[in-house]
Amino acid sequence: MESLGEEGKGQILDVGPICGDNIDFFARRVKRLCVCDMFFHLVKGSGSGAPSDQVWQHLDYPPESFEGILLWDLIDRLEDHDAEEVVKRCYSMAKPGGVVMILAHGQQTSPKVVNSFVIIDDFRLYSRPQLHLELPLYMRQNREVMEMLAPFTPITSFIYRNGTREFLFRRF
Amino acid sequence: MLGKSKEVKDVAVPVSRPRATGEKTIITKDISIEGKIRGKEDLVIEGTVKGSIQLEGHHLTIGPNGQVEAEVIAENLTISGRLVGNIKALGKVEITKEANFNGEIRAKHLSVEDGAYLKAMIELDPHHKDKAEPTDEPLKQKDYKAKPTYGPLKQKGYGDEAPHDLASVSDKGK
Repeated sequence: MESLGEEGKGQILDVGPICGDNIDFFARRVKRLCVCDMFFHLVKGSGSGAPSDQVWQHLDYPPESFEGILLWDLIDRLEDHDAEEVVKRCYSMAKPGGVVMILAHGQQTSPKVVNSFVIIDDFRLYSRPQLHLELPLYMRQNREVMEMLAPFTPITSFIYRNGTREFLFRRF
Repeated sequence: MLGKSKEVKDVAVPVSRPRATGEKTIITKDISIEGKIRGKEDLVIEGTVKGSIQLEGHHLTIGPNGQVEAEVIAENLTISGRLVGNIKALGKVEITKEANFNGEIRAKHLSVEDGAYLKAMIELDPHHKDKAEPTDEPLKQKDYKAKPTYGPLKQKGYGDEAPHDLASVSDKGK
């Protein structure tokens, strides 16, 4: 939370999947929480066969809007060109000094059903399958994630003992 | 609150005009209203409403068939249908997994079920902190229990440590 800005101030964007526990956690700690469930749009888009660039039009926030952007599990659900598009939009939407937080599952992740990261009891991180969301998994190495986020400056990266990976990047 | 919703379901019959029960008014699915709605009792919308809704001190329910484009002020809200607009709730907003919401939410409490669609700007009262309610279906299913990310650690015999809090885990990586 410290990296996402001073508590009680600032604006954070969560791109999904929708998770009530996370919404409650973050909405009470920042001035404004914006939620845009891109997983929903990706699943809907893949069903309709619409070009993927139409999906990203939903991330239509003004430039330099957010102190923090949460990209939890999203990058590994995207093909390279979509992931690059997300990074480009995140860079535009992040305020100078703002951070992007990435969480990615380890190797044991289900290949199709999206497992969302859930904050419970205000400090424990759980994994919860979202059975209504099925998307392909493009598992990326840490190095690939770092390269993909190249417009940002890496602050920290950490691998949990169960393989979950956490990355923090800052826009300077 | 849930009891009240059930009561509405029980008494709802397919008529083409708003009906007032003892406690609330129901706008049924064949009704469309454009304009300003102000009231001093609970309202259930299963039809279509465009405009503004003001129910200070009362509960607004947008049922699964409800289609609403409106600025809403109410004590509490339950959204199971489609709502485009801004909400100001003095109490709690509940968004169920069938809901499709696009707009702003200002409330004391908010509960959202996994599976709902939201594109929202949310401002909660930071001084009213309550425990998140377990609302999502997957948690109730035997095969898909939520598990701590540290679960595999214990299975592999790395020890019986309690799960770490997020801050301490992040700090380790710094």
